[in-house]
Order: sequence, then C-alpha cells, then structure tokens
Amino acid sequence: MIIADDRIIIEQITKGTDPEKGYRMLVSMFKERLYWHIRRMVGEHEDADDILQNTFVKVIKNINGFKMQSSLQTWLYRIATNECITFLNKKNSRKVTPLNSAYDTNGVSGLYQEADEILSKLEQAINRLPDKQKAVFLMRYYDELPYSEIAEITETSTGALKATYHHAVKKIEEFIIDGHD
Amino acid sequence: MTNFNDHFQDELKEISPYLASLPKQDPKNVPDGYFEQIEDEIVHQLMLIRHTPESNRQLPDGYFDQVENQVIRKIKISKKPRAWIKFIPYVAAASILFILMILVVSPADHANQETVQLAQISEMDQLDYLSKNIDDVSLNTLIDYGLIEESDLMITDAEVEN
Repeated sequence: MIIADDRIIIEQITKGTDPEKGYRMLVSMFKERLYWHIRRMVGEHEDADDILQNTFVKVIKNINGFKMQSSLQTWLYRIATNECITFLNKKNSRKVTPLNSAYDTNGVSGLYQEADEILSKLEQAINRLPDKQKAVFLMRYYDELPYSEIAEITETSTGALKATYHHAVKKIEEFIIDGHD
Repeated sequence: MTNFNDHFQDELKEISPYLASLPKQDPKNVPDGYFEQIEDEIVHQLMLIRHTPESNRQLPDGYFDQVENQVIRKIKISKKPRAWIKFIPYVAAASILFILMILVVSPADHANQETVQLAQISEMDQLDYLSKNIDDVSLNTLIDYGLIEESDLMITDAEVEN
C-alpha cells in the first residue's frame, strides 16, 4: 500500500469538499480484501457483511485521530480483526460447539480426497484454531501480508508471529491428514 | 483468487509440503453483485454518520480557550450589587412592624367599636330583640337581661317525679 494513496483518501474525507468521493475511494479500495479476511474469520456471509460495515463505520468515526503512523490497510485490518475476534468471543460464549461437529466422516486420510472435501477440511481445521492464531494464519496464508505488517495489526513481535504461523500450519496439516490435531 | 508469491510458497513448503500442495482457493461464495451493492450501502451509511447530530455536535475552533473568559466575565457581572438590594432589610423590618400593628391594634378597636354601637341601642330595643330571637341566645344572656329569673330554672322534686 502506497502511503501517498492513503493521504489522498484521508484528505478527501476530512478536508475535501466532496467527502462522498473519499468514502467511495476508501470502500472501493479495501472492501474485497477486508470482506474475505472477515469472512474467513467468521464463516457466515451475513456476519461478515455486518462486520465489514461496522469496520468502515469505525474507521470513519475515528479517521480524524488517524496519525498516519501505519498504512490505512494496516489500520483497517487491525479494526476488522479486532471486530472479528470480539464477534467470535461473543458467539463462543453464547453456544458450545461440539468438537468435530462437521468433520467426523469416515476417518479419511491420504492425498486422494476430492478437492472440495479437502478444502472443507482445511476450513474446519482453520476454524479450530484459537482466534488470534487463526487471524495470523489467514493474513499470512491467504492475504500474504508480510510479518512486519501482521505485527502492526496484531501488535505482536515478528518472532512470535513466525512461531504462531508455524504452529498453525502444523496443526492444520495434522487435522487434514490424520483427522485430528 | 490470491496471487501466489514464491516467498510465501517457499516458507509454506518448508513447514508443510502437504499444505503447500493444496489449491489455495476459497470455497465460499458471495451473493451476485454483492460488492457493487455493498459499496453503495456503506457509502450511504457513512454519509448519514457525517450528518447525524453527534457529528454536528463538534465544538467550534478554540471553544475551550474562549469559554473560560466568558464564564469569568459572567460571574463578575452577576456579582455587581444592585442598588435596591441594600434596602431589603429595611423593607422587611417595616413589613413586620405593619403586620404586628394590624394584629395587635386593630382587634381592640374593633371591640370598642362594637361596644359603642351596642350602647347606642336602647334597653327596650335590646329586650325586644332577645324576646323575638329567644332560641338563638343562651340562658345566661336571658338571665342577664332579666327576661327570666334564675329560680325559674330550678326543678322541684315534685316536677322530677312527674
């Protein structure tokens, strides 16, 4: 993300004569990548849709306090990730999901499963990770964000993040191949 | 959907060759036209936020620098004594005296006035009034005016037996 773009968007929103143009630039630039990050975190489209909107609302409400010390993308990811973790905590406190609820099929193993089934198991494996580890894995695996940026988003050291990602990958692999982690 | 980057792929291969061999695609779908529609929806929502009373409640520039002086000036103005305030104790004292005069002096005058007025009525007229309104006056009043004798009120033993 180029900081010059961030500055144009922020100035358009805060000082411009046409803030709607600034909002549209902001939403247009980040809506898809944020949506997919949120969707992978929370699973359901309706929940992702709500959180995406809340994220943009929070960004706009706080944009006057944004000091440009990080990129807009980092800031948006931080807000979205925190919103997702808050949502998942609330959801987890409301209901108890039985372990292996969607998975216990035939104890399948090996590399010859159908692609859809593997992807489904990958999703199940990701959803079994603790929320923060899940966020780190998703940002690295799907969004391919550098550790330095994930470190800013999660306010964690890059060393700790590398270890977190490593453990997450190993857990997911074990779950898919062996059926447990 | 996500472009593969060798650096990320190499890192993944090192940790898990199996995971690195899997297709990196998202199985989830979104409703048709979602991203076009959501952009309009969010922008509309953000414009509403901009025009809500909360955002209009922003303070004018330099408000807190000015408000201190304004408050102090108002306090000074309100402290300036008004001319009529110094007369309040005297007015209060005069009012109390006036009330006392009404309560103490006026009832005596009223009683005197009644006495004077009654003296002007002749004894015959008074007796005439009492005899006509005998039900409205007490026995003592009738005795005082000589219309009846005290002995008339005494009941004899024979009358009690009857």
